[in-house]
Amino acid sequence: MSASDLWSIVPELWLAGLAIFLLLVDLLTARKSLVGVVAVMGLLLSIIPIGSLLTQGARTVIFGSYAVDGFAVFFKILTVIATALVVLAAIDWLPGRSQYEGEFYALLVFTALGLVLMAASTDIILLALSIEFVSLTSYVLAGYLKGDVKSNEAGVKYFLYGAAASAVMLFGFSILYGLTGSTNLYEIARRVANAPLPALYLSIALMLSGFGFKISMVPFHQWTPDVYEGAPTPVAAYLSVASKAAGFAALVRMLMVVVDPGRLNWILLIAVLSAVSMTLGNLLALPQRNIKRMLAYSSISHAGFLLIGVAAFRGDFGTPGLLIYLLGYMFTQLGAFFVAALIGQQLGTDDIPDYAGLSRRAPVSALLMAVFMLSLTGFPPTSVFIGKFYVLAGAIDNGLLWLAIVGVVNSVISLYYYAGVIRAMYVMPAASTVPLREPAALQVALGIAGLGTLLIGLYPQPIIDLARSAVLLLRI
Amino acid sequence: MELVVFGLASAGALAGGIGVIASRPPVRSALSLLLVLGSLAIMYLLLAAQFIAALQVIIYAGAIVVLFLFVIMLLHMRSGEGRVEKLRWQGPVSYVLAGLFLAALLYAIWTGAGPHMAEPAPGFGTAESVGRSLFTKFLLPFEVASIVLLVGIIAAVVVGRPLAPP
Amino acid sequence: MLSLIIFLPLLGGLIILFLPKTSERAMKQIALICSTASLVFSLLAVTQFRLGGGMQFQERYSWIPSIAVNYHLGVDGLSLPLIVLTAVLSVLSVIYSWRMDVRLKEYLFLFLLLETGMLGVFAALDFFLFYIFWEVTLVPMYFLIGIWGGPRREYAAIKFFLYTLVGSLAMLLAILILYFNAEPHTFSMLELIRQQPLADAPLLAALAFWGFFLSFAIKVPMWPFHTWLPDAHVEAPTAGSVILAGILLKMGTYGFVRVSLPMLPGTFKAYAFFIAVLALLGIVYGALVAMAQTDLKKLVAYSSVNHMGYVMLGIAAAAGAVGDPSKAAAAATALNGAVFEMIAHGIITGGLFFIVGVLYDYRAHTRGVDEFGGLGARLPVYSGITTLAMLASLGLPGLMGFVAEFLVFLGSFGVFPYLTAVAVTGVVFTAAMFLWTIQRIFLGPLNPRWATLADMDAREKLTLVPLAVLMVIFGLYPKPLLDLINAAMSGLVTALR
Repeated sequence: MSASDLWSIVPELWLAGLAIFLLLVDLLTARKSLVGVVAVMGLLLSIIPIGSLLTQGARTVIFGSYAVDGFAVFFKILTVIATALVVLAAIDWLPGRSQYEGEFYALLVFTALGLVLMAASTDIILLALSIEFVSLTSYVLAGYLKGDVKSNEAGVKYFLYGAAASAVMLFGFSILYGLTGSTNLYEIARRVANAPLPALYLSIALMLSGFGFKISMVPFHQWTPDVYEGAPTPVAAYLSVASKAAGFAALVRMLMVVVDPGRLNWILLIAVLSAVSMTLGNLLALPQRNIKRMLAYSSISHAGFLLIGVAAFRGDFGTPGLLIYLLGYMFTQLGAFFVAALIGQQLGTDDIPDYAGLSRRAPVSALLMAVFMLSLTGFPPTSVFIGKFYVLAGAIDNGLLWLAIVGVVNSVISLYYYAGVIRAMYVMPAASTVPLREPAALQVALGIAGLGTLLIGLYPQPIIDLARSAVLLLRI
Repeated sequence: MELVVFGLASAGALAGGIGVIASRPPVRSALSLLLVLGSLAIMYLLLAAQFIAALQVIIYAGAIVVLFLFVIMLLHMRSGEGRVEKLRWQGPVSYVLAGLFLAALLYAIWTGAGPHMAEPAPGFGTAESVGRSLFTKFLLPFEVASIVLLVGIIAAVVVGRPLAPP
Repeated sequence: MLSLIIFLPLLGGLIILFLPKTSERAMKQIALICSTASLVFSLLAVTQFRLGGGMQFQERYSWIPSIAVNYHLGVDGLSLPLIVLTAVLSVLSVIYSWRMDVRLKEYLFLFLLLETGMLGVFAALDFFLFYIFWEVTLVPMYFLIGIWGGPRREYAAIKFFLYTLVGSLAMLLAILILYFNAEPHTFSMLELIRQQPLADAPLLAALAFWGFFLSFAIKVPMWPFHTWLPDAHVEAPTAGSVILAGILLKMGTYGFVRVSLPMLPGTFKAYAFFIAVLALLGIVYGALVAMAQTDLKKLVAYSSVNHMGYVMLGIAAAAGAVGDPSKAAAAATALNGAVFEMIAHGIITGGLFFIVGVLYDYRAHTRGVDEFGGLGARLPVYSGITTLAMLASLGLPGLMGFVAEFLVFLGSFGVFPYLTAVAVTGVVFTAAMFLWTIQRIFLGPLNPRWATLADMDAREKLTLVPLAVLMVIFGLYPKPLLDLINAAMSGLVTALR
């Protein structure tokens, strides 16, 4: 270990420092929105050290326990953008709902730190620790509205499921350690070649429960709708995007670095889980009336879509596709949740039929929501289309045509419930014609989400380049 | 000899675990937990991890369980509340799944035990080697753990402080 | 030039989006100016088009280099007439919609977006771009039906949306199969036609073919994928029906000629007979069901199923003749007929939907054929144009429909004689249906309910007279249009022989 190692983790140090600084700011000011503004500025500034990592080669630092590679950088960027957007949205959403506004922003930034660590860990101890880190803050954030029974339920439920999933995952880690005598992923990858297969299968299966919980993959998805529904809307947005992304990062790093699919055929396993997640998530989303529950089930189905990218990891399409999908999905899903937050705040309802006539009452938000819904369905030219295009291409490139067909069928099913939201906003008559107030910070967050959705859809080349370099650097 | 000790310790851990979830008065649960932790400490010893075993006894058994007992004492938890069984089919299914899992585990051990298992490094488990690896190889996890603890405190404050009247 | 034609409407739409809600007149003017400008440029393109020059006005810029996607546009004798048709019908639709007052801003924006999508589909030479334009047409149409449609609009809109999305995603898979089997991987349609990447992989070729088939057949719509069409047509607002029948359906047949035929000729040949049978079923079924309709709009909608059957028969005949030099002449004739029928159907059926709208939207508010009678004396201009359009649609010599159907039958007779013989009987049904309809609406005693009905006003004449003139002109002198089409089709047939 040398001083240069410290330079390599400047973004992490910056985030940790920022979170503590936010606590101090919170102590000194009565205007809590200031804490949020400082958080956004700090997060944006962290792009500078993160960007400076882009030019450096891939390597591991601090005794091989931490990766500094394109893959990790990609997820740092994603996490920071998602966190900044969520903080922006929360500035308008949170006041009046909780007494602990300043801590909310600090906890969000801490979560971001945990997610960043998760995506870059190359040591299973650090990985387990960062997953616990993220879980800890997520439980609290999900149950943040203390006077709200649903929020309490969300927090407790998330905690119970999460603790169980983590315990099972740790058991899997321990088997892996027992088989190889090392906690370092690259070391494990070298030694795992002689390990007996049944134990290895068992360990992978157990680990999948932990990762599957984070990405809300079937059959570890049951918590998703209840938690999304009960949690504060910005938190639900954050969980469905950033937490999911980091889960995928850890899953991909684990599978691609450690397990040779020639020896242990996880491709089929993942492909089947992907198909099941897509289908089940979609079918359960169909009858939902609550927008947050609908988005929760649809996020399960998107997890299935993303898993196509994991299964189809060979070639130039699958894994970059996963990253592109995650980034595009981040903007779109955040945007959809922000509109839900806006409506929830202004109308006090999360029911889709109450969105009737939104096109007249809040035309900009309604238009953006329509764009988000179409993007989630996979209509071009939007960001999720590019992601879906990429993972479907990956599936065909990898000879998983059946999985691509399942994906396509599911896209069609999903149109039905996404179009339901559009129908409510544009077709159904308004209950009232009073224009809705569209608060500034939330509006900015929404605008950025919309811009990201469309820009990635229209000119995806820079994102593709970034994702490709991220994947190239994954295997050190 | 080793096998006998292992058998006793694991029986103790299992009995304690069942005691934690099955006994009604919270005090009995806490004491059962003590049994679990103690049995685990013996297992750590068997695994040549003497330092961890000592920590287990001092921190978990010594500090945490005592804390539990204090909390229970202060709260005067009502005990013996009847619980309503809300899970219908999940109970039997869980037994089946647990049985399957046990079978898988046994199979994995049966096929995998022996020469495949990695050898521990020399000096494994001593206070010195634990300290050395904490400050070299596992420096980052160690530091992250400290942040996690800090976050845990903040979270506990947020969760624990009562709602102020509006 | 092509970019200008395609994106001028969208530009207008975006400007309209940012206008205040009250300036309705300005919105309409912008919509009219932009769509007219698009039409003018497309006519300019026609005058500069060199017959036999292959793909022209090509524009090609690198867009997503890492997956070899280019922004590549170009037109030939197949797509140019369709582009002009699109521009013409769009301008007329804007004129027709002048009285629209419900949510005008959204209406015009979606309409112009739709026009951009349709123009783009016909001009795109890169599959990625093609797919994007293809999908872009779905969304505005959903809204047009869903917001401004009839009483069952929501059902019709979502049905249309789901059906066509199934098709387009199947197409996406087929495109990807082609892409990965081409070496180097490419989305360029011209390059894929040249490479024939699936010539030696029959299974994959069949998969890709059926993927495209599903997409195009739903769009056409071929029997048995037609069930969305009557719903969508009946519920859509008039201008939406015009665009749907006049242009969106042509995207399907255009796809067969532009994609399936040249890229997968062997596979298409293998299934050509089957597809011809489906086309025949569409012809007979469409005509018979149309006869049974009492709703004027449904009647025209089913007659579309019938006419698109002719187009598909011609295309299937051309596919059946692939690799057989002795039938090349017949194939060229059939294809020419099919493409001519696309244009003819666009003009005639577009006109017919306007005609239904004139009666329904602002006058009678009913479309029941049996409720009218004797309107001929009351509405002379309207009756004249309607009769002309219906006669054109049933294929009266001297009008546009006749030329198209005659060529289709002539060509396909050389390939599938028996099928064609049966198909010709469809003409009899169509004729009977339209003549009966004319009789029921315009002849007989005047229903006193309609005694006060006014004839067409200037704006309605402005929409319908140009179409009527085109029907006559191309019916009497189809040569310029046929030459244009033939330039592309003979080249295609030569390549396939």
